Amino acid sequence: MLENELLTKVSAGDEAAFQRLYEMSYGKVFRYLYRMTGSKEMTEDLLVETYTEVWRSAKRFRGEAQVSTWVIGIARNLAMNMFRKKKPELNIDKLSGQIPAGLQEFRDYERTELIKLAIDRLSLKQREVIELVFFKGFKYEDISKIVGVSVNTVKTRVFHAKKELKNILKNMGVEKDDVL
Amino acid sequence: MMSYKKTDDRSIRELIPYYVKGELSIKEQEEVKKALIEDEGLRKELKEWEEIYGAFKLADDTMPQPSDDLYRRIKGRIRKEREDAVFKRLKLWFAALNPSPAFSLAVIAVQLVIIVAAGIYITNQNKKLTTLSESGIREETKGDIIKINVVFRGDASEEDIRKALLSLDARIIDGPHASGLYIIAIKQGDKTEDVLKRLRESGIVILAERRY
Repeated sequence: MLENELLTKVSAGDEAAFQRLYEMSYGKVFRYLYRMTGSKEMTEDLLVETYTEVWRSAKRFRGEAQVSTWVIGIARNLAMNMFRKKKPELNIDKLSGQIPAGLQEFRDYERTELIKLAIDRLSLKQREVIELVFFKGFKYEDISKIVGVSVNTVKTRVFHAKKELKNILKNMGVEKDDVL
Repeated sequence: MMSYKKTDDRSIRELIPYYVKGELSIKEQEEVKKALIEDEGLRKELKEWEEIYGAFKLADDTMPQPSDDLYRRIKGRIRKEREDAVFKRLKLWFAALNPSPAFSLAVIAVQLVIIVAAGIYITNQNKKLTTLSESGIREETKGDIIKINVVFRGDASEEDIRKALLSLDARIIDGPHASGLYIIAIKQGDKTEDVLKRLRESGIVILAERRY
């Protein structure tokens, strides 16, 4: 059954449809929230909050975006509200200790691990667009609906995010020819 | 299907992340491949995105698994919200009544009246005494019976009266009256005159006459 049909049933109070919709989409929402918060506990709290809001707001879904885009949009709004109230402990704070002290040795260090650490150091907005670009099935149009900005702004943010990523890697001691 | 103009280098550049994650149409893939052959800058861009994509995949691999009880938590939350909503509606409904102190007192007064009335009713029910014989008499008088007026002697004992009535298969259905009169009943089929005779000869009866 299509997500839209499920959501129509959810809006009529169909709990079985709600469970099916949850099963179809929660993995994506969990991944998005975890990448934003870096905390399993926070992610799960937000996820519970997100699906409660999906249940509440199903009647208001106008079909202007994919259901998964709409659900991620709800998750994003809740996460942003939480960030405004309380700055999350981002992954980088926990992981920075894992960066080898002698950065010259990073040739032996996993390249992708370094980039992962660098992504965690991006600003929330930049990290978010890069995350969403790599979400399965999400295009610039979907991202613009989730983030609430124009498609051009999304593209600009992606461009700046990648540029910033290079700077972060450079500051981490990674030479241009080594990574990126 | 992407909808960008792919006539310039910048537009192809925007497609590269989607090329990396394999979400372009065949036509778009061909366009990107062709551009990559021609443009070294795009090849570098592709390498960068591949590195980033690899980092994301690594991040996904190290991501914790969601807890098993998440859906149960969501259901619990929704259930609680429903209950709260019902309570809220009731609260709003009550608030809409805008109860004044006088209204509250009136409600209390009505409740008291109901309690007192119920108490009185129950007490009266208990006071209304019934006997087994009373209900029996009423039943019998409904059928075809012969009624007899009887006045017992003043010195007749209760035991004598009971024995006499039992031997005649008779029942008191009314009395005693102030004059000492009882009305007894015998069944229709019995011999009335014989009963009257036996009563009169019993030695405990002053009067025994059929009642019409």
